[in-house]
Amino acid sequence: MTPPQGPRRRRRSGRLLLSILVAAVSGSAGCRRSPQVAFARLLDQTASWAASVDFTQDLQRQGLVPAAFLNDVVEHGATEVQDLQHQLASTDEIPADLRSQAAVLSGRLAILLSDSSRSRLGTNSQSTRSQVGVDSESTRQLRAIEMRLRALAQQVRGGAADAQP
Amino acid sequence: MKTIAAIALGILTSVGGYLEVGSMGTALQAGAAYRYELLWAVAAGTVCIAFLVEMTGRLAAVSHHTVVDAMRKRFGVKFQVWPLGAQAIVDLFVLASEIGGASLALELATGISFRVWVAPVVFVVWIVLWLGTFGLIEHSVATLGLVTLCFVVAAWRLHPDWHAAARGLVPPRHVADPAQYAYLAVGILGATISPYLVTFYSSGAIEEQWTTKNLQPNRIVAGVGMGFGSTISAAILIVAAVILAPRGIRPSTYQQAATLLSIPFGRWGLWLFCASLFIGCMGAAFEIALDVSYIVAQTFGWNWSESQKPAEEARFSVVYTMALVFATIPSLAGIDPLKLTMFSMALTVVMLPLVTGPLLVLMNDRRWLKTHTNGWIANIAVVVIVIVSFVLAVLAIPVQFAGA
Repeated sequence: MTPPQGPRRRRRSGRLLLSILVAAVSGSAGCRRSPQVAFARLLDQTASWAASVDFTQDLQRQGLVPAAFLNDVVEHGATEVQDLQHQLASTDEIPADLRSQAAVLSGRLAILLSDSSRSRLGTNSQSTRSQVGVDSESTRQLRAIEMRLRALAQQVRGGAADAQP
Repeated sequence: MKTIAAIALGILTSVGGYLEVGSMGTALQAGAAYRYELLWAVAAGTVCIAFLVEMTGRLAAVSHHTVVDAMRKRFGVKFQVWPLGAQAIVDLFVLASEIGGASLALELATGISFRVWVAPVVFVVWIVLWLGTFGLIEHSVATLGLVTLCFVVAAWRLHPDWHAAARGLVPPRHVADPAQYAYLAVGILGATISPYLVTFYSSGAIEEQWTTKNLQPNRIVAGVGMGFGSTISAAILIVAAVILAPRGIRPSTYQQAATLLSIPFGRWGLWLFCASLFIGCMGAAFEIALDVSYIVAQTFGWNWSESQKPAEEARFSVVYTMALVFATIPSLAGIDPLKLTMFSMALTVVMLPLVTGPLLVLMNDRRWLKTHTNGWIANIAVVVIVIVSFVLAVLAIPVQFAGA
């Protein structure tokens, strides 16, 4: 049986644990992420969905993934991007013009994905010429939106870096 | 010859049973966001879990007690109920992630929402636990789990920059978005150093009636098995670095990551991904559900064993049944499995010191381990890795959620 710890040893262990916790919490408070970095990350996530759908479409055209899977990705993408759009619009401490640009781009992407999801539900699993035609146009739009989202994220990050002492 | 066969089987079991939703999800996100720069976290986590697993196997073989049972007798129920209670709660979150992961794998394969698959998945897990034995569950899942080696093959086929990958074994000096980087490191460490592996492994050693003759095989299985197993996690990270990172795809759901194997394996890629995710999650679900029962039963001194009939250990069976019912709630509520996984892994790391602290005390106690107590290397390795992980978690988690 282990002899019980003396009261002095218990107090020392407790003080040490408390010191570590206080240091950790203070450290994390001091490391609070800048709002620009958080905003840029939301933009990156939105662009990531555009890239995901684009990549999956490409794989589906090559016959490497089934159409049902592409439908799943587009559907989820539409939901996630709508959620990101709300988050981007409600982020404080970001200049209004940047928030407005983000809202427009994410809104366009959300509409594109929603429309694509609805139209895919009405088609069969075999690709048709007209579907490929629609996909080419939506692919161009996807890539354009993705590029602009990433450029905006870079701009926001650049602003965050300039703001640092 | 028998010993070699036992070691080989143990290594196969470790490799086949290694991958689950936590190691997969964290490696995917790490590779996509930071390419090879988080490989060091996989390596550090592997070293730590290899030591911990070896320790618990040694404890079981020498003292004929599981970790939980030994802790109860050494520290008393009043002390031990807190860390083990915390571990049981974390286990429930991780179990929910595994159920969600398995259900999502079926959604990816069929297009039918993962919420529909939750009940059937949970039923299958429950019926296998109810009717199966420990050996059957462990070996069959591990054998099927060898499909996850497809990630290692994929990494090889993609010809990554191996020099850059090797540099990833050392933490970089500067990273973009340090809060996100630290959070992912915490996730990988939590996924690798899973407390349930520690308690489950020792329970398994008692189920298989280990003695001191199993010490050497245990050492080899823990080291080599965990090492080989972690190559699968590292391979996933590498594949994500090659396929997802250049395209700017940062997966926040598994839908975005499921195309990972389509380039190296063509049409088979998606099915291999789904199979790996499903089998890995199901295997982990069996282990974690059992682990919750092991923890509760051993803490309170109840009858327990997976190989006995449920009627002979009713309370043990009821606990895993209730754990499985609880685990359905997040997925039925529509919480995305990948997001739940990241949260569960971070929680795991916060709980680590509570579990490993008492274990280290036991492992240095000659009344329990006789001449087989820990060496200084094992003590230092575990203490350092656990403390670093805990500090990272305490720093990273509030920042991650405050900035979200």
